[in-house]
Amino acid sequence: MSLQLLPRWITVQRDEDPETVAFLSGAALATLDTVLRDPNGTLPCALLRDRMALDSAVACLKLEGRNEPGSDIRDAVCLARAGDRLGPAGEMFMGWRKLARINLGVSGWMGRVENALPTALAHEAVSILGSPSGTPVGQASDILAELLPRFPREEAGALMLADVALARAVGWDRPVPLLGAHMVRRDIRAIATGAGEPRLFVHRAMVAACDTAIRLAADLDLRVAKLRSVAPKLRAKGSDAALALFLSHDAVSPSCMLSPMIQGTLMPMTDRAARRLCDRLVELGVVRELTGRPRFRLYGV
Amino acid sequence: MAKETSVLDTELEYLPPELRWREWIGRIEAVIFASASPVPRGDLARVVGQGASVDLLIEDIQADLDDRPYELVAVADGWLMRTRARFADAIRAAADVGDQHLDLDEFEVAVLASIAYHQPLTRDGLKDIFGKDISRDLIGRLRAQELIATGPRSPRAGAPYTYVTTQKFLMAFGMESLRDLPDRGELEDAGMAS
Repeated sequence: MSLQLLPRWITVQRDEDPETVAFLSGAALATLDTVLRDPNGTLPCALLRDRMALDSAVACLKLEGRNEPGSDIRDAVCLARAGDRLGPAGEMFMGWRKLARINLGVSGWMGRVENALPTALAHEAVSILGSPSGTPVGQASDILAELLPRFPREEAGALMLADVALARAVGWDRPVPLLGAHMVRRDIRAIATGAGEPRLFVHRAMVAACDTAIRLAADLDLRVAKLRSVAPKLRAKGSDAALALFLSHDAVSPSCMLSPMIQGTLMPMTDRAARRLCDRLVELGVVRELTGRPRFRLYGV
Repeated sequence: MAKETSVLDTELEYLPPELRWREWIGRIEAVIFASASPVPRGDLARVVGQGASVDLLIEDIQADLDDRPYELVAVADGWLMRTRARFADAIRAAADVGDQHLDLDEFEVAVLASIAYHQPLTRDGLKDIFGKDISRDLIGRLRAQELIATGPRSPRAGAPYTYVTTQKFLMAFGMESLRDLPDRGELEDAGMAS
């Protein structure tokens, strides 16, 4: 059964009345919460967060005046080899990706948040996230109101911390990159200069973020169901481990991530076997080739 | 040495607040002065008390240095002391500082700037921008000065390396981040880019 999207009465409203916007954002967040708790046990949450991390990276780079399309950012991260610098776009994606993989339920999560943040904000994490109080959106907007005026050029880091606070306040086990991709530049500027009402801006971004997230979740849920259904047909050695990568990564590069060793495992796979597996998955209609290139192909659900 | 620093009294509780603050200021200034590379916040925080704000201490130092020929500036990954730009001529006239300043000609700076704006960028990409081949030598010189480093491979035949700028690049040009690069629109208005 496909996931229920946000009802129209939440998404069609264009009301600017703070009370209305707050009400809609609460309803949207509660709906997303239900989706992410995954009652059917089928949602590929790691993949969902990874895709959202990429969206947040694109949006944050735009805030910084860099207009890299998602495909370039994906290339930078997928094609870099050990020791290569990623460049500003790749680093932005890696920051969000790392953040979205932190398990907030185990000790040491704070250190990992610091590690994912841009250097300029790393030392702020402890004091900013240390003693949370208030509602999820309240905490997130307090963080933006505190950080953006002091660090007007660290939008990405401030949004990361806001998304961490939000996830903790809702009780999610990992940060979900929501505000990262949906706070609009005008509102961020307004918060940085102390104009306007941060809470209203964050509520407004939440409605858009939850809508996008639920649509993406519904889409991935269907695609992954297909992927899982073909798993028994795959006979390649290591295909289970390879599928696990597809279920957790925006894109998979056969030559960098599947061979010579399937990433994250000690399972060897030849270059040829990796390419054949990807071709087979495309043939079965469960994975797409994402680049349209004849070489250096990348595959994803 | 390591042992000595580990017993450094950072809280200085025996001092009245004002003297304590002066001592912290002195320590931070001394640490930055003694370092050839930018000093990260974490290193500075280790020489002052738990509750002391490194930012406020830095602000006080910067205010103290207002009328001095050198300044304390934030660069890529920390703080650095340097002479003010307007004294560059005097310094050059008095001493041979050839080893210290970047030995880049105009074209090399243009190549460096292109990499900064368009990174990650390959030599082919540079060729598209400049309409001619950029020699491996030139790239090699920029790399030797650690102004650029290799980035991810480009998804083209031969998987050529891309180049990206480094922290040292930011430091050399007095930038905190790539956002300090002049706005591309402004450059176009000034007729310096198309």
